[in-house]
Amino acid sequence: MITLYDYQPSGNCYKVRLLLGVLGVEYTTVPLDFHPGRQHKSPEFLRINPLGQIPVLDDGDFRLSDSQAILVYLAARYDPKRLWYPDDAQAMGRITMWLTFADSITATASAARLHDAFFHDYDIDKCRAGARRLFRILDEHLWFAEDDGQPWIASAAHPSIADIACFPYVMLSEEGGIPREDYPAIRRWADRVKSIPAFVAMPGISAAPKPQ
Amino acid sequence: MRASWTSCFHPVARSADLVNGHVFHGRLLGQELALWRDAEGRPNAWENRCPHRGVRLTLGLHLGSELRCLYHGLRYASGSGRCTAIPSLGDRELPRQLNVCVKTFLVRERYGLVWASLHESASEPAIAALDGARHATLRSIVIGAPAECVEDALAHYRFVPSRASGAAINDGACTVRNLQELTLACTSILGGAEEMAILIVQPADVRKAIVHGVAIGVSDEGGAGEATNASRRRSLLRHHNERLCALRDALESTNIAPAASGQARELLEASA
Repeated sequence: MITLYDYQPSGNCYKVRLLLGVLGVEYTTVPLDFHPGRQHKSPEFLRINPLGQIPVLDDGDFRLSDSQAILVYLAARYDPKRLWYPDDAQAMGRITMWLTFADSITATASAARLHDAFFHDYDIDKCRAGARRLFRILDEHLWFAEDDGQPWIASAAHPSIADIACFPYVMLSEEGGIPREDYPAIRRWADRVKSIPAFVAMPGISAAPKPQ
Repeated sequence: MRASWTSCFHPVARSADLVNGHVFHGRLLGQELALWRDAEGRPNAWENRCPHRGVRLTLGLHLGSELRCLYHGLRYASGSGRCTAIPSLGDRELPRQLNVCVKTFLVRERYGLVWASLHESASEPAIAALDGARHATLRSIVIGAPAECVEDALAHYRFVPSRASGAAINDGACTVRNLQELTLACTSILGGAEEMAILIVQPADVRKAIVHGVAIGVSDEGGAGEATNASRRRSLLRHHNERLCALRDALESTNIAPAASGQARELLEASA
């Protein structure tokens, strides 16, 4: 049984929970007291991940940290059709480029949220400006991709782990003082991500409401 | 912002932005809008605020001919904005005298754009150069500057006709003229190619404007010569996107007051 070292409001942990959910893979969680307990920086957890970061995933004897790396592993191991991370050089290259982009979103939009909601010490103006720059780039990319018949960040036929990786901190951006009104292509893409079968929500990101 | 703007139509979205199931988040003269298209294709421009507890309707669910608020599930009908359902009433019928309505605004759809007016307007959206012409709607560009500044800066807009793509931006001759307030016709002539784009500035609020554009001579739909049209359209959309983003970056890199549009021109010419 997969074990996930987890914190519910963490967008990076949510990336993994979201992929596990849409892949239909069972797992258990070890909840950590990220705030205010800073359990991820405790000596016990630093033995699990010396970077003191979550999520960490255990699959039997195999342990992996870093949300992007975990997405790659889960998609390669548990998606027999290889839809979420195709076994194709160009697809893998393209997806990895956007996984790195997702990391930049973490460094900006998530940092802004940690500042506003969790009282972390960051240069908030720099974080917000950085996030807005990335959102502009993502909005332009999605706009032209959509115009070309490609509804997903790195792929046309089916969403990939690039969409999973970019989604959480984009959707939580308002908690860091970054609204998404100016990015209509991102807003439409977010609707599409929420409509993925077996989509799961998190605090701050609602599932698409079911029509009554 | 000018008082006259509240009683005329402004573009608030591209027609293509009102996709099935999506509620588009707009803003006109400081008024937030929930823009959506019903199952019959009819556009709606509503105040982005459920009359019940004020939650944004852009967070709600698009049900085809109604919007449903995220908060308590109240539903409102396309067209009238009238409340049609209140879930907390359970099986009881809606009281007949109930007159709850979302505030609705006048809405039109022309030239691949959705237009709204906050108050009764004397005139309909009309751009003679676009009537009967093949046209393609450009990507709309949000600019963190007042509409007056954006309109002034657009007086110096330059682009390269799609048939001469690859030419340097300063080649050829560009002219810009105001057709009406906030609406400009930009013509670019290079070699034997001549192309026109209509640019329209939406005053979102005192600090923000959105530039919408319609290019004449290519079509958003397929048709005869489809592959050529599609490829020209794509290159034209990309080119105007690049030019308008350059204008945006120039305007946003300084705090420009309406009187200082000369600075904007210098920045634009430097970035060309």
